[in-house]
Amino acid sequence: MPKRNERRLKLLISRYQQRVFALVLHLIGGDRDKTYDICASSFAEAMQAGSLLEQEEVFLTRVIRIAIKKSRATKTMPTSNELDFLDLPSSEKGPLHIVLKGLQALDFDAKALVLLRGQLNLLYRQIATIMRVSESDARIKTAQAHARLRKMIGDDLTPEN
Amino acid sequence: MNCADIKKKLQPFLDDLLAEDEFKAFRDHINVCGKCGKYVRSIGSLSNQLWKLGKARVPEDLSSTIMYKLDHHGQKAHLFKYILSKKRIIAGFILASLIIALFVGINYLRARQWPRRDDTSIVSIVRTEVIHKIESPTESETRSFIKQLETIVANKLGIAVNGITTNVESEKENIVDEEERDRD
Repeated sequence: MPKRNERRLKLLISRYQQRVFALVLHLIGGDRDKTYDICASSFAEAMQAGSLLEQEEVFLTRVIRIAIKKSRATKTMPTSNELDFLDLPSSEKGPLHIVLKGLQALDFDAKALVLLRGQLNLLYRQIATIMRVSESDARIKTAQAHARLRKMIGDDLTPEN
Repeated sequence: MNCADIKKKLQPFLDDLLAEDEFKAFRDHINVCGKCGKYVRSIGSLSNQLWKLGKARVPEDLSSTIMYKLDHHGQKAHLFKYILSKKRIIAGFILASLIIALFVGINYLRARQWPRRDDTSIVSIVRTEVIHKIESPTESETRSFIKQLETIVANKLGIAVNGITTNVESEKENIVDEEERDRD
């Protein structure tokens, strides 16, 4: 592999690995080893499928789409130590426990939509491409998924400040 | 979008009510401006909590594993492309067709030859049986024996056995002639 390409690939990996890793980790319920495998193979496939000259947004969309497809095909049980893999002070992990519980109760697509918008802050245009739905559908379904999640976790979340 | 705008737009952002271009500007600003990013993160809300879920610790060797897989996957993909090239698919298709045609042809020829060959072997069996099993056949015994054989052969093969009967009857006449000659 030429040095220039290798540098470009490493840059893409370092820029997006955390976002994809976190997404897959929460999608499959905290199995770190499987998350690792899914992330590695998703990045490899996405890089193999596209050109290095394409826009980063296109690359990110593709790698996330592949990762979601692989996560959907992976059968895992939610683990209790999902929060241990987050790089946060323990004081901030309390409310997250409730959010995670609510997330795990959602179906896969709803969970993916909530995470794509809430965790990765993707635009609805990108979410629509990833989930292969129209932009308006992506908007409506995400709002519905958010509403379901809010209902599940109730008023457990309170402002920290 | 500047830092003052972030404070104004924070609530719509948390409630996911910003237009797409405003959302993008808001997101880009808080990704660049550390102070605003910290401020937004400090506000407790569902969106904020979801955002915090993105703070996963990534294994240090993930990057090198991806690079390894990329090389490995590249080789496999190359091999796959080599196997699935257009010319090879056509060649494989022709070869498979030839093998199937050969197989079908052989079976067809065997099916065509089978009744004749079997017919001959049955005639020889009938001859043997007539010669060796009937020691002193009377006319009626021989006819009944041949009739039985005809029925068996017809049932087994599902074919007309007139030829066999003719052969067997002429054989029977030969035997009778030979016996008469012996007696003389």
